Amino acid sequence: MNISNKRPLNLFFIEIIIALLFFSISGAVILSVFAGADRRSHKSELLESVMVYSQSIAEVYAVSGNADETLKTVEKECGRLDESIELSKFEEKTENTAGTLSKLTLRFTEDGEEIYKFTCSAYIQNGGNNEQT
Amino acid sequence: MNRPKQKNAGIGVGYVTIMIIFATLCLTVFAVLSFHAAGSNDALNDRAGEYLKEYYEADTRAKEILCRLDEIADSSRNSLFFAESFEEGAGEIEGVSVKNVNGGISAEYSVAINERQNIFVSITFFETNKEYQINVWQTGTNSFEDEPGLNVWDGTF
Repeated sequence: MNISNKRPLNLFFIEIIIALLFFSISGAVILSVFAGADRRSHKSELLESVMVYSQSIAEVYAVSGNADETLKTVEKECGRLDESIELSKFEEKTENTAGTLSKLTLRFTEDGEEIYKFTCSAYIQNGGNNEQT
Repeated sequence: MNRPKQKNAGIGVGYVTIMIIFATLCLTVFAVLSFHAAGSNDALNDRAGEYLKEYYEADTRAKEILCRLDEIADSSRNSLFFAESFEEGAGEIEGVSVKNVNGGISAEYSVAINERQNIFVSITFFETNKEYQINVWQTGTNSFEDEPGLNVWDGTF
């Protein structure tokens, strides 16, 4: 009589153990998917903020033609970028008799990994004295 | 009276499995949806980033042409015939067309951003002063003729 009473309880525990095993395995997979989604979302947010920042830099640089002045103005108006992002710049100037063509290449990195890189330019007449209408 | 024994009212066998399968299914659906949403957002931002890069590369090429044209205009002002000298110089730059306008010469050219879009530029260089005037510096599709018109009723029976 005792044996027949214990049978459903044993079956129940076996079921619980199998269900928990299944749940823990699938939970691990699901958590990794959530973590992947979070990583992509973070990367996407960073890229978005960097793009807005880059566009602001390009528009200010097109008028000033000076990289340092441009970065100061954009930092003042738009605020600083996320501290984890590093910005490196490379400026190249070509002068002729009529004016100066400047090219500014910006490289945004996070932990050494490149997020975004782009080049903008400015043409200023007469070597910096912007006389264009 | 020999009545059957009443059954225990606790959780039956199979109930836990069903609940766990349901919970796992719900979590899986949420995880896949959030991953898909993040992926779509990422892809959209990648495309926007690529376009921004392409646009400013084309803008840089357009400014390089402007720089060359301004140099030509500057040297042409020192020559006897401004218009002829400018036309000759501008003719060496591929894709630039020039026409005489009041007080100077208008140069027009376009630079490809991608397969579908261009930056159209029209600038007037004046003979008497060093300044130039940008008439048009805008983005447009390659050709309006390629776009099919809307199939609407033309008003005739």
